[in-house]
Amino acid sequence: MRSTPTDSLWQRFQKRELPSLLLWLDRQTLPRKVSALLRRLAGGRARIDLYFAFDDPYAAVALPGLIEMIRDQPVRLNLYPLARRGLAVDPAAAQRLVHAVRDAAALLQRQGLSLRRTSPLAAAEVRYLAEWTLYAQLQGQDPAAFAGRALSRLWHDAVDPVDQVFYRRLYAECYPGLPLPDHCLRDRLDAHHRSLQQRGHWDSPAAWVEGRWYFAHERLPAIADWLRRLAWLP
Amino acid sequence: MSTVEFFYSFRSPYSYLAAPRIFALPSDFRVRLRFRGVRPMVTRGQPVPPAKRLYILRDAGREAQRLGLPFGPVHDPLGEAVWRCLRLCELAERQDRIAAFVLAAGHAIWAEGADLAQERPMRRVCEQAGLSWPDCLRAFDDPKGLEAMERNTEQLGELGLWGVPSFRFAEHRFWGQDRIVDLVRCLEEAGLRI
Repeated sequence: MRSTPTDSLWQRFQKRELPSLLLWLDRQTLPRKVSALLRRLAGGRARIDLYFAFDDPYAAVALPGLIEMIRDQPVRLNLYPLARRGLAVDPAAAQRLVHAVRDAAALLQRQGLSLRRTSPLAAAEVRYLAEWTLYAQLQGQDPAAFAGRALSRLWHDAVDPVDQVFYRRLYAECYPGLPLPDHCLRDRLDAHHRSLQQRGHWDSPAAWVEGRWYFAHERLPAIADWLRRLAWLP
Repeated sequence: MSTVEFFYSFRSPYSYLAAPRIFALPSDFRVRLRFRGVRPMVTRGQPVPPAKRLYILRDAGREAQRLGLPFGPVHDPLGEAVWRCLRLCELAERQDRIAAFVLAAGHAIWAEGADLAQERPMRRVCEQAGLSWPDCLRAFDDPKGLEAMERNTEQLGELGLWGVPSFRFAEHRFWGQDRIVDLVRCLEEAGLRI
């Protein structure tokens, strides 16, 4: 075997030392635990930032799961609806969409639930749901009330084309008044997408949980475990 | 006998996490395992920006802890180390040492930070896997290993999959080390548990 020339110091740093250091840092939980303790003593709460898209079937696993996990616990869930997600250039984008529907169904099946919709939804088709969620948030309402029910209907219960009349009725059940057209909402949704990327993630449903990113649909037990380790969950 | 196909990349930490459970399947189920080494994602035109690389590394580290597998120090094998491992897969399969080789190489890369592009660590891995070093030296020059890898990579695409580890059993396809539970459920439903 002809050994390849030994890596330069820079290559060795990139291939070995840097990733190993990042792993080591990720395992240092003491600073997070101290920060959590201090915030708890000051009456604060833990925080989960969830970036999610309505056209993403995984969001229908993640959001209801997170809502259930933190019910009556000192954890605040901030929602960041998205109208765009994923990597700009992705040759497997179409395959991902199809696979996500099948895979989300399998994840739900583990909980004894089902996903009735069997094909992907176009982002444009459900963009208004993201705008309404944001609208509710800007009106000082709890956006999870609408977003959770809308996602459930969209993916768990419905097989039909997306019916805006139904979701308008659902919105009215959740909040007083109906969403008004607001051109700022589009810009704000774009800002969510930029914020997701700037904070170091790229796709839905991404949850920033006390200093760590998780793909929320497949890491619900890991999120609960992390919050327990920080003593935010019993 | 039913077959489970295992699509694996030496550059994928999730493949490393999946391997011990997948190679253990034939002890628990009446299945034959077919190992399929594939090209690293980044050499297949799949974008892997820094944010994604970082996420994968950290998430794989946490999953390794959950699974009780050693993880770190690591040595990214992209480049010659990956190609050499893939070249040896044909030989390892012929000698029925594929599980031993894949597990040893994965451990060296993801738990010892070994650079398998270098002779000494590669030789140690091969001998640990029960492969004779002179046979391995011949296999490095044999194009069959990389030809098989190209076929496997094509097959992965034909299944509508792009990521690894992936698994195929009958008409079922699974992607991700954390989907092995679903594969196992399928095998149980098929009545294949020993």
